[in-house]
Amino acid sequence: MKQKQSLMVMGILTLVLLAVYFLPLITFVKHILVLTLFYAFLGTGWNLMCGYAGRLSLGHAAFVAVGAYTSLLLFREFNLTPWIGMLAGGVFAVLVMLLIAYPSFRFGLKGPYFTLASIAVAEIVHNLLVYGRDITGGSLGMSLPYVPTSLAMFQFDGKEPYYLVILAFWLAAVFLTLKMERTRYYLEAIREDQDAAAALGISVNNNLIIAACISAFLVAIGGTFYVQYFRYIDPYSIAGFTLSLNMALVVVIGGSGTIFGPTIGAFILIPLTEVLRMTLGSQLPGLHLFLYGVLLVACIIFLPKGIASLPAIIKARQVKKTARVTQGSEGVL
Amino acid sequence: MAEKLLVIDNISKRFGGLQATNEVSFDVNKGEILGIIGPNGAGKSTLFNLITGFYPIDSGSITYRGSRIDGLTPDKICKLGITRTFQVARPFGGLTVADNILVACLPKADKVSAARARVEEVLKIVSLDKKAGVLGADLTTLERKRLELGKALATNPEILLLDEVMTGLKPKEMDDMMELIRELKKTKTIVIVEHVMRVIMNVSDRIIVLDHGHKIAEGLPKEIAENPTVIEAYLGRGAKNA
Repeated sequence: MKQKQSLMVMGILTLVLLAVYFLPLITFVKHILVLTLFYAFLGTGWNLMCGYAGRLSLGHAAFVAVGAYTSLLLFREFNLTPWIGMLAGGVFAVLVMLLIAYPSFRFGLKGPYFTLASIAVAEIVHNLLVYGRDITGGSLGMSLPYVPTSLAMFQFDGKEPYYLVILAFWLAAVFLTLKMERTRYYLEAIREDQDAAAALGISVNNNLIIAACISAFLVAIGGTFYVQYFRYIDPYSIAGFTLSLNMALVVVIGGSGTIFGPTIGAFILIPLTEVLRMTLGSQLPGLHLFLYGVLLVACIIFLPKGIASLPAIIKARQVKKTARVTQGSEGVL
Repeated sequence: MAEKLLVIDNISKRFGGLQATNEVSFDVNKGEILGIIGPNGAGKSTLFNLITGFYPIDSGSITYRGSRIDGLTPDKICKLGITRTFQVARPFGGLTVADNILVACLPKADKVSAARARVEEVLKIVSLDKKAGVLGADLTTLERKRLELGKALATNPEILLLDEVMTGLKPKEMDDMMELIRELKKTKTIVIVEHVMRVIMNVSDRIIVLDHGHKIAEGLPKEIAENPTVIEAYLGRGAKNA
């Protein structure tokens, strides 16, 4: 998609989502919308490193957790507003990312090996949170001290303000991805063939590290949002494998390495999961997971590059057809 | 005396028990086409990998325009002005042909739009303008070769290192490719590794011959064709009596 088209899509989506804010929706639907945008935001962050650069991480929950615990602890201990704590959490997550990314990329860790390393890192963070009970509250988790609605303290009594906040976060992440046009091309080239990219003057390590750091920063900010919205975190829910996996699934189903893929994926998967759980969860426990699995398998078989790739697939087929017709009429080199 | 652009001085490279490059020295002069030939496994591709920083050299030095470039990473060497192609073409399979070229234009462009403006021109040079929207993975071998050359040209190098661009081409296609290389010579310095003798003898101003990592000969194409050491390396001992 061209830059201008993407900007337009982004603008239209934002307007539609803003309009949704004024609809008289029931609380459950509002909750689903917040959750969907939250995953769309996390997915957009994950996508930078894992979609564009093809370094598949299944441990990104580690950075969500670092962001969440940092801002929460700063708020609890020093009464620091989570708006600033959020940035501190982001910076801390970037540092943790550098610790892993630098050696991984320096020594060319990729494919399943990088993925395994990312899972290991998430496990380490998870265990540190569980065993650091004195500071983190261990497996019991930690709750957010209540403050009546206060913009300065990033706490609201209704769901609506959270919707606006996560919409703004999502917009910022999408806009950032859009603005990184040059880096996106570099990352794609690196994903396809890193030596060939280097031979063309692209610095492989620098671009990978930039992508990894921005990715970690964004999902860490998502972590702070999680704390402020749910008012409670524990290592299992915020540093567990499920969150890492969901982040990846949203992007893979929607279309990894595309600007709106994560958003499309989130808007399909998250409402579906929540609705299935609500309707079937009590009478036929487990059926919602079964249906979820069927959808995943269908997507992987029929649309391995995600839903966002549909227009491109159709277009490529047409180009191929016309190319076949004109073949033979053109000269050789 | 021609200006020496690239000076290779006594470089060596060993892979375990194999001495792939052994104290090789030569110069590349501005504006010439230097051919590098040698039997399979002579160390031709290794030489390209050493010059462009893909492998570190064990000893010796590589100097480009008066400054050392050995030890630099491939991307830095490319940005300085030396670009290589790969023997087996390596298109970015998931990107369209136009995006493949765009990516190659980007590192030296100030703005993405400036890079985009050059894509069409490069595509025309390598006759891929009709394939702009096709994915790199869907190209035929010949088209891949052209794209490989197109990507290298898009980086606008001063020295172009071509690694077996003729392999797999039909005689007519080779003639076209030779024509293109001669055309490129007007603006660039070219080092070409090639197996096809007809091509290398035709386009090269000078030739160096490698065998088992050693430089065994250097000279004008005519001299090389008659050099007994070279004939022996290619055909084995006793060939001269045949």
